[in-house]
Amino acid sequence: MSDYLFDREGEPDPEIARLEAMLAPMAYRGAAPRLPRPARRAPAYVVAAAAIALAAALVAVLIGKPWRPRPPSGAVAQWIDTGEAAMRLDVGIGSVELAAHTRARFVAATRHEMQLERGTLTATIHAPPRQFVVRTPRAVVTDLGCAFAITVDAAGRGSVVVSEGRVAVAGGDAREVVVGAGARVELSEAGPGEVSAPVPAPDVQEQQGTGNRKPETGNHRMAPSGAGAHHHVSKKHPAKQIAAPATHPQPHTNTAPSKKDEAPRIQHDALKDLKNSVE
Amino acid sequence: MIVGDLLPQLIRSAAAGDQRAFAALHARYAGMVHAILLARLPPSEAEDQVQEVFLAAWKKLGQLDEAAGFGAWLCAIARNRAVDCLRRRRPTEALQDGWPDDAQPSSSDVAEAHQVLDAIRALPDAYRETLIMRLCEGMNGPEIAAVTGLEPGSVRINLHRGMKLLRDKLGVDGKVAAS
Repeated sequence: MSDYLFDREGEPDPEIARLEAMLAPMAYRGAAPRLPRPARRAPAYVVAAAAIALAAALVAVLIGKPWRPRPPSGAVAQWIDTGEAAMRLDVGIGSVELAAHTRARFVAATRHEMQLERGTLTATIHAPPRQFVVRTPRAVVTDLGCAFAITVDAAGRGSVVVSEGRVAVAGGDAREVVVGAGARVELSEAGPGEVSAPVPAPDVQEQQGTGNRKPETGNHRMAPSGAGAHHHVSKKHPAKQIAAPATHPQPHTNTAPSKKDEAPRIQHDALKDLKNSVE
Repeated sequence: MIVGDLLPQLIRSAAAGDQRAFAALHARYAGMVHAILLARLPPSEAEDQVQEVFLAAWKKLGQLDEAAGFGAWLCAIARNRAVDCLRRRRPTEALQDGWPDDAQPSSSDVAEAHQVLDAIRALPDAYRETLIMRLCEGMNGPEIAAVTGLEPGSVRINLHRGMKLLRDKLGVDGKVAAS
C-alpha cells in the first residue's frame, strides 16, 4: 500500500497535494554562500613579531614607562579628512571609498565599523549580512551584503543609495528600514525617511563635503540640506519596510524601474554622476 | 543526491577548504536547513539565515568528529541560529512577512499559506520541521531521513502524527479552524 505522505508515490492525497502546492513557493532556492578563506595558522614571522611586541610591552611595564604602539594609518578613532582627493580603504571584507571633502573614521579595531561625519562614503562589502556598519550623525547604516553609497552633511542630512543587495538603515528611534538594490532612502535629523527608487536626472548636481548641497529637482528626491530647509519625512509603513522580502527592491514609488535587473545599472549611473560632481 | 559513501570524502574536502565540495553539501542540505529556520522565522529571514548557517558550518567543519553526524550537527546549528534571531527580534516585528524572491502568488493564497504555516509552526519541533521539509521543500520521507540522520520509521511517524495534528487544526475544507 502506498503512503503518499511518506514516499510521494502512488495516488496523491488531495489535501496533502493542495498543501504542497500552497507551500511550495516558500521552498529554498538560494545558492551556496560566498565563503571566506579557511582560517590558517599565523606564519612564524607573525608569531615572532607578536612575541617581540609583547616582550617590549612587558619591559615597559616593569620599568614604569607606558609603551604604546604607534597607530597605523586609518587606526581606530583617528579621523580621516580626505581634503581635495578621494581615498580608497581596504576594510578586510571589502573596500570603502571616501569622496573628496569627507570626514570619517574607524570605530572598531576590525575596521568593520565606521563613523561618517560628513561627505560621501561608498562601500562594496563581500561578507555575510550585518558585518559592516556605518554610523552617521543621525542614522546607522548596516550592510546586508551589497554595495551602497552614503552622503551626509554635518547635521546628518543626506541619503543612502543602494546599487547591489540591501542595507538596513536605523534612526535614533531604533526604527529600521531595509533599502533594496536600486532604491534610496533620505536621511534627515529625524533619521531615515521613506524608501524610494532613484531616477538619474541629467541636471542633478550634488555638492558635498562642505555640508551644503543643492536641493534637487524633479523626482530625484534627495533631502535638501541647506540651513533652515524644511524636510518632510514620511514614516508611513515602517513595519512593512522592515519586513521586506530578502531580495526585493522596495517598490514604493512610481519611479521604480520596471525590470529588476535594470535597477543596479541605473544606480551605478547615479553613483557615477555623484562621483563626477565631486571630482 | 550524495551517495552515503561520498559524504565523508566531501566533508573532509570541504574542511580542507574545497569550496566545490562545500557547495555540494549545500545543495544537499540547504532544504533541510531552510525548513528548520522556516519552522521558527519569517520566510525572508529564514532564507537569509540559511547562508549564515552554512557559513558557521564552514568555519566549524574541522570540529566535526564524525561525518555521519553531519546532518544532525547542521540541524543543531540551524536551530541555534533561529533561537539567536528570535532573541534579537524586536517585539513589534511580526513573524510573517513577504514571500522570498520571485514567488509571488495572489494575496489570498499568501494569506492562506501563512495561516497553514502558522498552524504547522504551532506543532511540536519534530513534527513541524519534518512537515515543512515534506510539504514546503518537496523532500520525501527517505530523503528527510537521509539528511537529518533520523530513522526512516521515525520520519514516517513524525509525518503522520504531525499531519494528523495539522488536519485537526485545519478545517474540513483546509481553512484554518477558528480557535
